[in-house]
Amino acid sequence: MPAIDIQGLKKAFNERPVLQGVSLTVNQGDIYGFLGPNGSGKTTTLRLLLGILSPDEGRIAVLGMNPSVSGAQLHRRVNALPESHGLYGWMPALAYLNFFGRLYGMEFSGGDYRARLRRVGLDPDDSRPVRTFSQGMKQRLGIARAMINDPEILFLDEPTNGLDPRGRREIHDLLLQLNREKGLTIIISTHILDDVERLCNRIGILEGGLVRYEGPLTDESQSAISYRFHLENGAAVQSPWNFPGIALLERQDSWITCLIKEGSPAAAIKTLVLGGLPIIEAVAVSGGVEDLYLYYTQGGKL
Amino acid sequence: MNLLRPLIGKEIQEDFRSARGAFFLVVAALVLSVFAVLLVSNTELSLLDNAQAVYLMAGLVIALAALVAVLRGSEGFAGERERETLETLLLTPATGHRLAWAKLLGILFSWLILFILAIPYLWAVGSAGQNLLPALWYLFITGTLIVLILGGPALAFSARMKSFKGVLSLGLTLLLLLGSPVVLGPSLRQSAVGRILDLANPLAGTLNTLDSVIIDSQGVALQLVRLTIMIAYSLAVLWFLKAVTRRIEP
Repeated sequence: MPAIDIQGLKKAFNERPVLQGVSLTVNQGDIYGFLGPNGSGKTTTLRLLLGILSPDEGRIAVLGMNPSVSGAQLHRRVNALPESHGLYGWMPALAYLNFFGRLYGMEFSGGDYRARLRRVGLDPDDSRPVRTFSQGMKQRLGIARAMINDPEILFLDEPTNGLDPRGRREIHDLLLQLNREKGLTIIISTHILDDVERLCNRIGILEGGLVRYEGPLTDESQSAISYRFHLENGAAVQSPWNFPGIALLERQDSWITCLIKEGSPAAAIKTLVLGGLPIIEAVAVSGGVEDLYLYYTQGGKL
Repeated sequence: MNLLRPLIGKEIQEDFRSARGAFFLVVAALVLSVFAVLLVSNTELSLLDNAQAVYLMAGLVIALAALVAVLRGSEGFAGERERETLETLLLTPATGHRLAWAKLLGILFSWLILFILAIPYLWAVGSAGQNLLPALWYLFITGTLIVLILGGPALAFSARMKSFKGVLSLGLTLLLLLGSPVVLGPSLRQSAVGRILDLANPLAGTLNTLDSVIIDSQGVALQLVRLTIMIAYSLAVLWFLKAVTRRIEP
């Protein structure tokens, strides 16, 4: 049984459609990257999966349960870290963790709570209110809170937002450790593609209310390759783009990035030059999540 | 009950450990102090008899309780939503009902603190009279009902509306609507419409009950109709709150 199975999910707010038939599957033990531009519906999808919003149409199964019907039961087995952390500024870290532990009905001793704080790199003897914590400390406390019920699935919305490189690395290591040791299924909604490349084994790319791509971090169905072309200064790129088999991913100053879907790079360069693009330099770009992201968030059409 | 306990604990602690709670206690103490000083030192107010002084002080406590109920009720869910803490609560196994009950009990706790704070002031202005004890009893009962009647809807609105200011505006408007018949002139209040408004309005019911007990020294039998109406309002409010908080969105 997959950890999460969504079919044909639709949701609108004030008659403005946000999700228009999202379908995706997350397997047990996956670290699944959920990508998409701002407003693509990532947070709404996570909230639907957690049962704090109800879908207009479609079927959701999280650990075999319908979140809209079995919310309280589901919440004992999953947890989430929203982008906003959800911390009470006046509480010290230990009291905060204790409060949520009791809300989940966990029968922990004081020592258990302290150990959980230490595990995320926080000092349990720190009695300062949470509002005085740094962004990184708040993020760690948020993760400790999200792990308080030993969930089978952990949903993370932008988990490394605002962290410095060291803080991000430590959060990565913690999540990988939890996944490895406990088989925790993790769903990460993020814009930071480095997080995805370091952590995830599968991704889903959401755009325009639909999942445009779902699968491994490299699109095995494609033999596509990305190239960056340096154009003569002031050269204009024809609009609309009309080079079959070549997708324009990005334009920056006198550089353009293209995904060559069909044929060899040499043939593609010849097509572009004959089409009027004054290419003076071509650099192959390694394929990866960034290419997939750019490709599928621009309509996914070549 | 197990899940309710930490929620109630959090609501109560928030009153004492956040700046909001301390600010409210200081403001309430100041208002009561100023009013008590006026009652004993002002040339005209000091001429009031003992029962009237207690009645005025009890009315002030009811007004503060009504404000507390609207403020804390409006802040209940909308405030959590604005501080972005509501979503983490909704992620727990605690249902919307449990969250609402805990918040309502938190509001009642604020009222209890206000009531305890008011006791020395009431004693200061009314210890020489004979109706202080019944005044305290009826103040506690009617105050609790008023806090339920005003705090419950404010909490229900805050579960549905996104902005604290929006809920607060609505709550204060409701409070003004309930308060306005109280200031009707004596002749209008004696008319049929005035009597119906007096009977149907819980705020008027509270003040009339306190008037009847403290100034006229009337017994419980004469308070039953008004108290029954207020209890009916409270039950309706609890039912409304339960219906509205069946599902709360972040």
